[in-house]
Amino acid sequence: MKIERWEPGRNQNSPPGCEFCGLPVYGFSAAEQPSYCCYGCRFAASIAAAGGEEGQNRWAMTRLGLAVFFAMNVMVFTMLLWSQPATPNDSLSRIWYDLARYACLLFTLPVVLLLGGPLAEDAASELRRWRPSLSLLLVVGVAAALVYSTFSLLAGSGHVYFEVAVTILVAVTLGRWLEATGKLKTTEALRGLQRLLPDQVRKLRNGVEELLPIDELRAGDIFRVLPGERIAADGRIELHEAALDEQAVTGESWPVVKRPGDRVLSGTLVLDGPLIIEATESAGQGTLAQMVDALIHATATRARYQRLCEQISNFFLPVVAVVALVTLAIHAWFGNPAGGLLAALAVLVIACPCALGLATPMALWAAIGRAAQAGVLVRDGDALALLARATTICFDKTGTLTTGAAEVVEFATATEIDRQDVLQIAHALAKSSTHPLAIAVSRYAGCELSEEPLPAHNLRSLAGRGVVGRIAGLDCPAYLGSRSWLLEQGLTWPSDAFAYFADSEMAETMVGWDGLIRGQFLFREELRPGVAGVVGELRATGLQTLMLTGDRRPRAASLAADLELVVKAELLPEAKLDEIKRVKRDGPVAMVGDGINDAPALAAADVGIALGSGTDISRHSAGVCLLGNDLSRLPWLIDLSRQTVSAIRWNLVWAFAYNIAGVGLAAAGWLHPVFAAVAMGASSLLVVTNSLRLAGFPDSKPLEHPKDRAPIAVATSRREGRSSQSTVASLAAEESLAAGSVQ
Amino acid sequence: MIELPLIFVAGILGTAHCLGMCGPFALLIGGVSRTWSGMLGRQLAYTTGRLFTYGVLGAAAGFCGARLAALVPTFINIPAALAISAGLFLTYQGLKAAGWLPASVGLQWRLQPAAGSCLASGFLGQFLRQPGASGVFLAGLFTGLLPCGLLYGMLALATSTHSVPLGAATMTVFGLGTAPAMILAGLSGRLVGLATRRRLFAAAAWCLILTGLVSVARGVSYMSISGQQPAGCPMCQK
Repeated sequence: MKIERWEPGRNQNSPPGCEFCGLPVYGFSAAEQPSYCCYGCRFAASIAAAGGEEGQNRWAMTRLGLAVFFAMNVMVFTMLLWSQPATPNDSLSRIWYDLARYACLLFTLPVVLLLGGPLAEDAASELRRWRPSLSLLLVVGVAAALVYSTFSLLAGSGHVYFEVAVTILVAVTLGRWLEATGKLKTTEALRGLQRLLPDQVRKLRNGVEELLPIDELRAGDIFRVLPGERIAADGRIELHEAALDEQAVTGESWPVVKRPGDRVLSGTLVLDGPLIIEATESAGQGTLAQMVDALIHATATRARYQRLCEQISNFFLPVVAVVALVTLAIHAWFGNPAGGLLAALAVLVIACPCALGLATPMALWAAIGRAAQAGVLVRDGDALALLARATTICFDKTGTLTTGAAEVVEFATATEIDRQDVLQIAHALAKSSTHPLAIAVSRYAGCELSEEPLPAHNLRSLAGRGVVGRIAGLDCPAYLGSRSWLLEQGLTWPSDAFAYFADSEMAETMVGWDGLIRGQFLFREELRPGVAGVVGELRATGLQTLMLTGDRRPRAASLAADLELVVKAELLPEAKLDEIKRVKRDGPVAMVGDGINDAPALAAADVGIALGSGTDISRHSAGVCLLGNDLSRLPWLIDLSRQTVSAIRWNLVWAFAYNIAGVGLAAAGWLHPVFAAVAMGASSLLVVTNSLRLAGFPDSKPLEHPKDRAPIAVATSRREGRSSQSTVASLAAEESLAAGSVQ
Repeated sequence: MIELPLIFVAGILGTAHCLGMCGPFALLIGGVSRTWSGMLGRQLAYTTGRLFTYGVLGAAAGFCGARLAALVPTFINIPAALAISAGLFLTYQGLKAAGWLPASVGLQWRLQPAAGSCLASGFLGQFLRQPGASGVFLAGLFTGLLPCGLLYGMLALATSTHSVPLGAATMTVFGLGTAPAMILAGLSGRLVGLATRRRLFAAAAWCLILTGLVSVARGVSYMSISGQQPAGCPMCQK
């Protein structure tokens, strides 16, 4: 499968929308012909399509440039005409001014030919669908100004308004050009993602390398990637190791070293050393493709503000047309048809709803694109808007604030037994399990013991309890698991247990055999690096921070105290939802979770922010994904969302105020169409630049090198944390899938 | 007009400034063409475009000056006020450029980022890369609109002429003054050295100050002459 070209307007599930911006298009539309909501989108689409062929774009630019040149000439002659009353009225100067009038006509014609054509074409194509359009109104207005002026000129009396026609044409086209450029710039980040996949892949077949088109790569194929190339499909490293630049996908600016067995993402860049990779997905279905899909979806969904604008623009055009006609009629009634024509024209020009239509999507596209560059996938615009208004941010504990990996902090044995023996038995049992605590035990034992774990057989894992099995050298089963389970199994405490075993609030695992509990492991959860700083920053932005966990109260409390979070512990999944609903009463709630276990909570919150599932975007129900698993993006994202909403508000306030005030002034005849046209261009420019600011939103403060970060609880290297965490995440995924809790 | 030659000289010397700001453009212009005459043609087309814009801007400034003179009651001597304020503005620009005012220390002018680079540079670049003369001409046309302190000073002066043709003439003469060095720089393919540019810029600053002072003097002399007759505009006369 080929990754679909990014066409934001295309959304199969919605009524036919504008091919470029996705706004709904009303009226008949021929299925095979693309439809656009306005001239601006048609223009933008034509420039975007001409990206490859410079020719068309260049011609559009040249046309605009030449029109500006001729318009400047018209303006100079018009200014001369305007100063006519100040000069003596002799016959020679009258000849000169007549010449200036003809010069105006002469220089107006090329502008009409250059810019009027496309505008008329747009109006005509809309008319063929039985749909009136603003272009049509403008064409009519410009034509009226031209015809009136030409008659005045030929009759030798009356004013000429060539400059009006010319300025309107130039300003409308210039405004559209600005919009088109802005639209292209805001969607640049998204289109950039599609270019990350290479065209060809070095597939290995029986050890022979073949250069094939990327479509021919299937899951299970082995392929080679050379340094400097991008990986074509998600996969697992078979051979060699290399530093990878995952920035394009996860936003992580520091290169990540990956070794055989590690997962690699499509679209990431191999920096050094070749890699042999086994594809786990075919080329069209990896992370990158899902990301592009999600973004296409995000830009096609309509945000709240956008729907508001659509409702308004539904009756905008008829209202404007009526206002313009009434203006013309009233002025004509009072004996000033020429003034009425000008006023009506000014109404049409100033009422161009483009700023209104652009206000929301421009800002959202820019912000969504910017977020994607930073490894934050925003699935719909509303999520961003709600995030900006959020008053509370809830965190899941395990896998979100913590890496999900545990660490043995204490290992105690009863005295009469050799410590080494207990550890060996525990190691033998633990290595068979993928439970996070068991992983921690085998990691700990692996460091403490020099020899290989003892052979074990008849191993059984009991969910929520522990592992039981027979170990070579023991004639009875050995148990590794929870205190209560071991007691249930008939094991008893050694006589002086209290002297050795702590009665701690920390997570614990017991090991025992032959009727006695012989060892105790105590664990602590490993906090994600930098998490305390992130929580502090979020609090500083005025958000309430809350931790929701199913874990035991004391354990959660000690962690929450470290992070200065309010904690709600011992929550069953349903209770988590109730808690979120309760907090929702105070305002929008954002929930940060690992995206798989927390799917219901993420869905219940106003904005779900998913983490820890960078490779499986499609599965979870969150509105926002942190692909880089990096919580430090959160304050940045909140900041971006607030800036976005403020940009949208300003855009809308401006667009509304400008339209309403402008139409009023124009209808009264106080606004010359030339200034209306200039104001319209300025309005588009304002909205576009205001939105483009978001595309250049500065990055959060540079991430330190992972090694320089001081993990709060335990200093383990980040890599270990990551790999074990991914194991835990995949385990959790399997569990929750089995339980049917997802979707 | 006593200033016209001075304006021309200010233009010539101001080129140092232009090269700092728009030098890359000047180099780009000749880039496509291989032959010497082709390059010259492109340079001339570019300069013509720039001159044209300056002329239009000057005409507009002159028109604004005339309108202003007509709108404000005659007991305030608008031509005089315009001439004096334009002169003061030019002098201020000159002092700033000479480094005598803290607003612009030393060579800060050289480090100013090309304003409007976000949208304008792409726009100009599109034209500059085109092979024919029309693209370069249009690039020149739009370069004339780039914000520039020197230009504003001259526009203030054009306003003080309170006449459409004279305003256009002021700006065109200024543009003509900037033309030779820009063309030469574009043809020779290298910019004037930094030290030379610094000296030239200092001279340009002095020239600006001188132009400004002459303009002020002219304004003061207007004070004794009666005000101009009002100009009209169809926009305000229904």
